[in-house]
Amino acid sequence: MTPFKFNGVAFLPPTTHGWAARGILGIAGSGHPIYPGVREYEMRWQLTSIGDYYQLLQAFNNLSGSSTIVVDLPRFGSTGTYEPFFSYSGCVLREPEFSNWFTEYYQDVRLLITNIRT
Amino acid sequence: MIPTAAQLTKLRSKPHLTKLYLSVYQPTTILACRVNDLTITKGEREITYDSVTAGSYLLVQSGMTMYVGSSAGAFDKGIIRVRSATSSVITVAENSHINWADNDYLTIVNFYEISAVFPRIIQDPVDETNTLWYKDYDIAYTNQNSILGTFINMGSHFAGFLEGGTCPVYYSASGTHNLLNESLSYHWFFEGGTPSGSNAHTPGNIAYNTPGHYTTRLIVSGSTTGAVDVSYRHISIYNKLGQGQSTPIKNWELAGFSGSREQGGYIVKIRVHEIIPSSTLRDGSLITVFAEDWYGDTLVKQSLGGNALGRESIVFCGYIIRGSIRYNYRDSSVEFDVGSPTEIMKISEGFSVSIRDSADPATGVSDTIPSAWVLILNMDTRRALYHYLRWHSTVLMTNDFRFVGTDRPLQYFDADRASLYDAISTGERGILLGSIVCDRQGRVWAERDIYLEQSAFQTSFTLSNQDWMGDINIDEQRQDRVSFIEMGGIAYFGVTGGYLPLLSNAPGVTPGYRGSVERTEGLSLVSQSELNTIVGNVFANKNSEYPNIDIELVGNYRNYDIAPQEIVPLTVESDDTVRGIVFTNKSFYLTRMEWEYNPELEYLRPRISLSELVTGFAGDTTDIPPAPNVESGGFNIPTIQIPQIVIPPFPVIQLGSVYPFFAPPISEGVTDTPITNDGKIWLSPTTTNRALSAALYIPLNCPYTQLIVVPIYSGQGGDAGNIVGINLCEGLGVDGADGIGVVTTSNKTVTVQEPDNQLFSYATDFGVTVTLIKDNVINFRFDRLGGDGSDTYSSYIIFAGWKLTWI
Repeated sequence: MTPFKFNGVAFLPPTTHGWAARGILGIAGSGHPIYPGVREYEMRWQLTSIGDYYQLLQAFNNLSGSSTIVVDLPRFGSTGTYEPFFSYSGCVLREPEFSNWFTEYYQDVRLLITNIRT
Repeated sequence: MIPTAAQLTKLRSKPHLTKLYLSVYQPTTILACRVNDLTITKGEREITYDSVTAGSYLLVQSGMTMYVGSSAGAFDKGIIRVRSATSSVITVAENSHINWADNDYLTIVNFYEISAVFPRIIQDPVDETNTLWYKDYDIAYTNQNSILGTFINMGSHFAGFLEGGTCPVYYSASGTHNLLNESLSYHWFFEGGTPSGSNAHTPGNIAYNTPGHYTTRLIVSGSTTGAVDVSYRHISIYNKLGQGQSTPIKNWELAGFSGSREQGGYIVKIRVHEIIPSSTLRDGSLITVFAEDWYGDTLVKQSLGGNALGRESIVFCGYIIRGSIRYNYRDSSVEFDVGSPTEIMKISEGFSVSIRDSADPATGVSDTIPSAWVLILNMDTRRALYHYLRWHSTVLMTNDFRFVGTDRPLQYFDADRASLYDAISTGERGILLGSIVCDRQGRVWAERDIYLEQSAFQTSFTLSNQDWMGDINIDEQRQDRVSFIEMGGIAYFGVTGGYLPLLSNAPGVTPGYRGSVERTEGLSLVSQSELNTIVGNVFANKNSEYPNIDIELVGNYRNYDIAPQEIVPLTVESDDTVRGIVFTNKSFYLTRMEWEYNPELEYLRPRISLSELVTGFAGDTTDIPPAPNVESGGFNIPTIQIPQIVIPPFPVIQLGSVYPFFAPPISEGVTDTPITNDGKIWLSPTTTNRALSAALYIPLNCPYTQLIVVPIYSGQGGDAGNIVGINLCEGLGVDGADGIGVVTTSNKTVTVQEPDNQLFSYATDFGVTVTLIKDNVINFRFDRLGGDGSDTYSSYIIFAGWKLTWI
């Protein structure tokens, strides 16, 4: 059972994945960087089947302009070598992207999960 | 809002997260019906109706809004304020903008708008010399300006989510102010809330368990006078997104959000990325932007800021500005502008109002004061503003109103025929050097400028480099903008206390060497000392070294607002700016705010503008010059005596030499009769004088035999009872001797009547008939008989000529 889930439903583990670097909003007068309060998680697949891609697309399509999704991701800031997964609620998906269609597989699929509160 | 220490710690905890939501208040229908009057015409106030399809007249409240349209629920024919309703007639405000027609659709909704209320002055049908004065068409004066009333404060409009099946809304009448300081009773009605009512000053949290749009009403009554005021607020309760059907608008963005004290409020630009029907969105719709906030801990939701208790989550309340709704069908979007209540007041025109102070309005009516409506009991600025807003607008029904600063007696208050905002703003500025400004949540503040009365305002926390982002922009003014200010006004001490004109200037008698000259007059003052302080502070602030500092704050600092004014201490360290400017708790005040919202990153951040708060040294008293002599234009000009023009008698033109004529010269003044340069012939009181002598030649063929002579003269003098005789027409010979050409002589005398030294003039019956002797000269003599020798007054005559009638 893959630990990556949308609303409790597992999906294909990405080839590469990780917490995206947060861009700073600016530098405070005290010299401290000001970061936004939410984080992003980026997932990439070298190849996905039609069905796996469709699952990602459906997760995105099921989100209306207002609703959010619960995503199980590696916990941000966990200590030790073992990274337990954590269910982050209130997340928003970007539309999954791909580069080429190659012999019934999608190449270079990318999915960005935003508005993650850690 | 001044945050507590705990709130300040929270405020400075990063990161900040904010989710904004957009609410459009949808008023419920109270009564839907149709006009039932075939003869109804434009301007009608009493609207007969039938065909009720929804609601009941029993639920109609004074002040509700009625749509008039060509279909059910439409407002294409107009919108009008309701006064009252019976089972068959709806009474509306005076109007001329609706062309009423039979079967028009009428929809009364549970919504209260800002609008002007018009007075009415008519000729008394019983007494045409009298006028009858009414407010709102038919409200006659009873005792309104004696019992006055109350500025109700009950918090802003509200919008929020059901969470766990309920949404608590906090209510308090904190800040409510009665003008007579009497104790008050409170009657709350919470439509849709639990409980549904309360008599407490602060009912606290009222639970709303069902989504919908509701109206809360507060009636405040004076315990002694019974003065009643009422105010309404609109409440919108929603399901959270994904948890029900009643959700706020989802796809929208904040395209602009800024406000300033100079502007008097805020303008918010909104773009909605979905088509909204016009029945949902119209000019004047109430818009509420509300928030969910997190400070530091992204899991613990807490909102900070706002001036109203229990309204921390309300970011902004306002109304769609007329004509700003723009539909973009290509993008399926609609844009509109939302303004603070003051922005709506700017487009609502009222009538001119003139009111004055009175010790007792009920007995103050006179020939020059036609109605007690113009008299206010012991008027001050608050009472003047209350009267205008209460009786000439609906502002107090829809918004909190606060007055900050020291008030003072006011003798007169005049508002031009201008917008509701300009009427009170001009008065506040002209009387107190103050401003009318609306905060983000819709409360209207009447405040004196902070630098005039710092003690009336609170001090916020010290802003330092941890609170702003990037560089701060400091404007520095090295040269004075103003070189000289003169200010004046009246210290008024009440109806019986009189008044004192005051004048002062700054920096003093000698102006500065740079800058312009400014003059302000008409202020309401307390004393010369106060005026000297005011003018000194105004001078110092106009010439402040740091008139503007722009700061981009790091987070959701909703504690700041353009009103009420607060002292904002600012600390800038030497390495905070490249110029090395150092401020240590230096006092500033906020003049402008502009908000930026990024929904993806969930941050809401303001950019604020601050102005240096400076105290100057007192100005110099200017003695007010004495009032000039109005008749001589201010100059002491002696009266100029203009001598009377003596008109000599016209000589008779002899045509063919048949008519008599006066032979020149006409000698005036026999040697014993002085004639002065002003044409007066002064007559001695003791002797007979001869004032005038003229020769009349009679030709041989003169057809006339007689001449009637009436002397034309005026004079003055003599004692009463004396005989001021005019001895006339003693015919004399050519050589002045008697005997030649004897003619009739006559002594015509005038007896001087009481009092002494009176004026007299010729008598028309004073004529003397003279028989003409041909080829002779007749001398006419104008004498005065002497007095009795004991006259007090001399007399004079001014001779103008003879009236001659030839027979």
